[in-house]
Amino acid sequence: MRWNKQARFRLAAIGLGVAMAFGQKAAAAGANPMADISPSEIALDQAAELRVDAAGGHAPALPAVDGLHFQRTGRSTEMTAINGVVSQHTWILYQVDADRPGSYTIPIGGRTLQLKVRPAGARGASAASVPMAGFRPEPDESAHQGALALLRVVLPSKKLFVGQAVPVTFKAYFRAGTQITLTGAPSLGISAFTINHLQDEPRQSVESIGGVPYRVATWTAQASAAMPGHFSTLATLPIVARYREAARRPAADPFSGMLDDDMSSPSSLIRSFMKQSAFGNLGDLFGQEHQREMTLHAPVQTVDVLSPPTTGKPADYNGAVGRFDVRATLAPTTGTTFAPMSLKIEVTGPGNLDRVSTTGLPSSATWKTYPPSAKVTDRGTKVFEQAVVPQSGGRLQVPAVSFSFFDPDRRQYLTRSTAPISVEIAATPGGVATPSANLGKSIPKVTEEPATGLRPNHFDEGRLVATLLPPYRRTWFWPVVTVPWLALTILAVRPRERAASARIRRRALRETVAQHRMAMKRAAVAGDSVRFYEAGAAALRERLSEAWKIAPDEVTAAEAAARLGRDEPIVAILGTAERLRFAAAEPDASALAGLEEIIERSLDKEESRT
Amino acid sequence: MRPQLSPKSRWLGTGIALLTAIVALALAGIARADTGNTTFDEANRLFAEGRYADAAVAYETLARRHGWSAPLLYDLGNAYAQEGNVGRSVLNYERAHVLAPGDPDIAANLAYVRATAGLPIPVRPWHQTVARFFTPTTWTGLAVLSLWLAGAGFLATRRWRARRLVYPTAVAALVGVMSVAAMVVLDRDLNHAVVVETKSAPVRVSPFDTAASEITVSEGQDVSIIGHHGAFLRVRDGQGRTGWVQSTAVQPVVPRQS
Repeated sequence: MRWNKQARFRLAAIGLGVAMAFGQKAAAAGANPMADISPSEIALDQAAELRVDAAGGHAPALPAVDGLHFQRTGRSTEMTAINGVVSQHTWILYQVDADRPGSYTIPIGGRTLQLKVRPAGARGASAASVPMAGFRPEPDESAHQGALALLRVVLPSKKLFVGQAVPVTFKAYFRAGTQITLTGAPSLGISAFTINHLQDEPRQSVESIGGVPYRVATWTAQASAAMPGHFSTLATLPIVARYREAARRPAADPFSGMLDDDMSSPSSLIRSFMKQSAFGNLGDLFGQEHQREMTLHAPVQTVDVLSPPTTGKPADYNGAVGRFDVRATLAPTTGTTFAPMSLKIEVTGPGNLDRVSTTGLPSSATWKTYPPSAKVTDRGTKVFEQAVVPQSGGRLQVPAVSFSFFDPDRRQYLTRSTAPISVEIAATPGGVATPSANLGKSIPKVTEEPATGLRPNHFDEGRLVATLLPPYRRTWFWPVVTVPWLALTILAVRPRERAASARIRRRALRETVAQHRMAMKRAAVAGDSVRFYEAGAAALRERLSEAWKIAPDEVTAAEAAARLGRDEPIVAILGTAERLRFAAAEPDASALAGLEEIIERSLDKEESRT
Repeated sequence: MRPQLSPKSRWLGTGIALLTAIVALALAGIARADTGNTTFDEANRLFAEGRYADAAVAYETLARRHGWSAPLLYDLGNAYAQEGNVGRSVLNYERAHVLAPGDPDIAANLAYVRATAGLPIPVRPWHQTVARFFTPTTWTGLAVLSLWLAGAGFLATRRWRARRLVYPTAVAALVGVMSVAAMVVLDRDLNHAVVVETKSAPVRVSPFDTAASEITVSEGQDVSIIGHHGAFLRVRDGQGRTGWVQSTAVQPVVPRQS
């Protein structure tokens, strides 16, 4: 068969194109691994995931490895957009589990993969191993074949500790040709769990279930249990699905049309991914379009959450769960007394950093410290920065800071400590180092001016006052000062007034008694016994009323007898006077001189008493 | 029937009542002052981290909520000084100095900030220097106590003829009078002291915006108020020069409303 020139040229062009295509494929195969396994070390009760390159739609045959079992779990297609160029890669996924511990070699696709299987429960080097109990194989293809959308949750372990952080994966499957709008974020459905670091936008891929292509949105997050107990997941994802019933569409590249968007933006990539159907808008011409709001539910899984043991719990344990290392640095490397320095304590390692906390370095005679601030870096390190202030000069040491946590793999509490840091501290310029005993209460008592710079802050807040106004300019001052003064003055004046009035009263009494005594004397001289008794009794009543603190009219013979006794002579005198007053009798006048003497003596006696 | 109390018992009762009232007032003051150190520590931590503006805000907030203290105002002055705000730095050092006149750190930092900013150091007459030896509160307490003692001594000497109380009473009265004099001097000093808060303020010859200005006072400079008219204050600087400045350009060392 003779080929004309044009036909030869065409054949050469086709051959060149085929050669270039094979060359590109070969180059692609060389650039991408044919297979990988993750993790490379598992426990006997766990499983690893094997990914085998399915370029061209054909995966290399799996080898038979004694002790290992391979179970196909699905297909995964990855898209990557680098500098606007979108590439696609398809993997066949297998679950790999082992019958016994040991090291296994898996030869596949021209590569040799290693898998180390340790006894169940033994702690391995890898923190990302997936327990077999939590590994969910591909949804039952026969049951879900043709479903519009599915939701799966991958929780790596069915037994957790309170506070333990574990990765959780939500995978939503949407049948190709369905327009999906996400109306919320996926939820685990357990109030006792907190979900952190949930991606705002899911990773997308394409997988095949029962030969039906599904677009897969994958979220990864960190789940942490807040309380112990037995829980069941009720994972949900709210969506709005638009689809055409009875729309018949041939299999097509689900990514066709996506190149219309700006592929350099991941969000636009996802939007396009979610909205584009296999044939773009061409399908709208056929069938009836439906729109449904729905909530996807994942199959229920049970999780047991245990409390960390109480035995062996360190005193400084504050809830951290994981496996951490801690280190401390001090900046600057040299310091000055009372000049703040920064102590940085870094806690790294797999675990729940949200529960990692420390009070840092406590205040001491050597270091005045402040509560640390905390932040989590992108590298998964929690950094505590604490301001520390040296209180004395010389070679000082920042003591070790200990940090305790519960290791869920070892199931025991561990304590890590930072290394002590030595630092040279110079004395304050222009001042002297304050003795540690004076810390917080006094300040360096120096008289010379500082050579350079400001003197450091004071750390004792001191006595707070509401105002700088002096007391005498405040409203309460003058009443507080003057009222006691007035009270004192009144208290000082009143007794004097009382004393004066008592003196006047006594003087008046003396005068009255003197008048009565004078009348009594005159009556005695005149022999007028009636007047004598009247005047004498009146003098006695006045005088005795003062002594007894009663009214003069109340001073009677009976009262006097009760107070002085009936044998007292003045009782008889008072009795005679009362009889004269009421009975008008004539007493004997012969004994008036003797009675006068008795009355005078009694009056003098009472007067001397007062 | 009420029991009859002797004058001595009534005196005792009155004294106990007064003492109780004083102790209650003192306890109320202590309780008010005990606000905890957490916020102050937080502000100091911000300062230690070099976040001076945030630290100043924290100190100001603390002062607004709980009141002022010499260390708080001193640290606030430090924060403003580190921030480069000379006016507020000097103002708060001056305020701290009112509450703690013997504090060497306050004096040192005030001198340092003034020297750094090229501000004149105010020269005070001897009586103001003496008056600033104590706080207004100390002078007031000393005056009240001395006059109380003098009054009590006077009454005692009159009532009980206690001649041996004459000299102590006279000394107490003298101390009281001197304290009152110091109070008056200090009050006149502090009541008129203001600090320039703006970067610079023109000192005008009359209290009008259109009036000519011959001199300018700088941020952080101490001046004394000697009069006011509308929105202007008549001030005197350390060199005795007088003029009118906008009242918004200065802040009183002792604010009327704290």
